[in-house]
Order: sequence, then C-alpha cells, then structure tokens
Amino acid sequence: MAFLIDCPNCGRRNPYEFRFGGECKEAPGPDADLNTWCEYLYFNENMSGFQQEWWYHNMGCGDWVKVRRNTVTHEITED
Amino acid sequence: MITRARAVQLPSWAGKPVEAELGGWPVVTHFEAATGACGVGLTDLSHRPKAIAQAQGIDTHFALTPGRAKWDGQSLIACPKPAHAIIFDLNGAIEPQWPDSTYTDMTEGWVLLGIWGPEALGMMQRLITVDLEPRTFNEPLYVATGSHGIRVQVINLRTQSPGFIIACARSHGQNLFEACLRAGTQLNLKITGTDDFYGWLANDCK
Ligand SMILES: [Zn+2]
Repeated sequence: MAFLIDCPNCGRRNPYEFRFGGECKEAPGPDADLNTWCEYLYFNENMSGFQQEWWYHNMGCGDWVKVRRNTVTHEITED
Repeated sequence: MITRARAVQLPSWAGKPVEAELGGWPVVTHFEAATGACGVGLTDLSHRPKAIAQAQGIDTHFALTPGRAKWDGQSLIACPKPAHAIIFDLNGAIEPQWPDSTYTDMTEGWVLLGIWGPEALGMMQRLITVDLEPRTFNEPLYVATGSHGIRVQVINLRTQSPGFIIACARSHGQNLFEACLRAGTQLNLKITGTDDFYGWLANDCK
C-alpha cells in the first residue's frame, strides 16, 4: 500500500501501523429492525473513488482515525 | 529476596553479570569485566516502575501535547494522545506508589531498555522508520510505532550525548532485545549494567 495516513496524535505514518475499520456508516438506532442491522453489518457501498473510512492506529496511539481515501488510487485528502 | 524473573536473557558474550536484588527483581548492576567505551550502551531497565495515566486534563497537568515527553529528574513522562500520559520512573522508589486510581501500573507488563551513547541514534534508525530527530522542536520526543511487527514506545531524551528508552510488551521483550543486538552489531554495541546507564544519565540528562 503506497500511501501514508495522518494520525492527529502521531503524525504521518505508514498504513501498516493501522488496521482497516471499514466504511464510515451511520449505526442504526436502538429501535431498528433486523433487516436494517443486517444491512449495516454485512453490506458495503464498495465504491470506486473517495470514501470516508475508519482506520485504527493499533501500532501507535490506539485511537480510531477517520480517513477520506480514494479506493482506486489510495489518494488521501481532507474533507 | 528475588521473587520476579528478569525480562530478558543476556547472551554469554555480554560477560559475567553482577546482580543485585531491587524490589524483588534481579538487576544487573555491572559486569565482572569493565565494559569500556562503547558506541551504544544497551541496558535492561525493566524492573523500573511504569504506568499509564488516563484522566481528562492529565496532558495539560504535565504540560505535554501528543508526541512530546519530558524528564523531571525522577521520571520520563510522555503524552501519546489527549487525556493520556505514560510514566517511566527511572530514579524514584522501586515499589510503585502511584498518586491515585487514574494510574495503571505497567511495571510487569512492559520491558524497558535504555539505549545510549554516541551511536544510539544510528541504532534507533535501524529499528524505527519514524523520524526520531525532527527539526521542528528540541524537547524530548515520544513515539509509539512498530518495530519488527511489535508495538514499541520510544522516547528520545535529546540529551547532549544521544539517549533513548524503548518499551514493549514483556512477552515480546526477548525479541526486541535481540533486534537491538542485531541493529547494534556494527555500532560497537555493548550490554551494560544499570551503573553505566545511571552514570550516563547523571552526566548527560540534567
Ligand atoms: Zn496515532
């Protein structure tokens, strides 16, 4: 993976220091039905292009970081 | 009485260690043959008290921001992220007496190695890919990163003569220690007892 992730605590780091946490999605509310939970847990957009995603800095500060990454080119941009 | 096991096993070429008991830990104070000058001194400091402190405002209490560390004459205190501080006590009492319940004792959880001497930066650069000598500030630096697939914490004390401490989970201690030995092969690395480390600290870390 030829890109770097900016961690707000640790600075710019190799992505192998992180664990991928998937697309940023809004969690269903407490009253959501099973279908909604199933959709949330098991289905993704899998889009080509920029998406918001979670990365966990497990080798560093141990915080979750939101990253806007292009899934085709790995380019990372600010919001 | 020695009640605890030392974190790392020393290779036979280190020499014959002279050990003392400190808080139940067997501590190598020096070796029978004098160590002599070295490019890098590598010292096992794992018996020293260590802690994580988590509380709102603890970073500002210690006047630290993420990635910075400081030496207060007794402890190295570092900030990995807001509301967190890491304490490596080098000079205080051997039995941890932490101020309150915001502190989690990590003394037995982590190994702690001192890496010091003129070639210490060169050796650290063989272990760590992150910049340990940024030009944007001169104060001590804290880095949490990976080395050999192990999560490590490093402080660059930024003393006159280069000096670092590196810590990782005790279960990986021997692997990290051996990685240090390999990284220091061409840098005249010597394994030293705590006497040499504290001699260096007293001279260079004022
Ligand atoms: Zn981080």
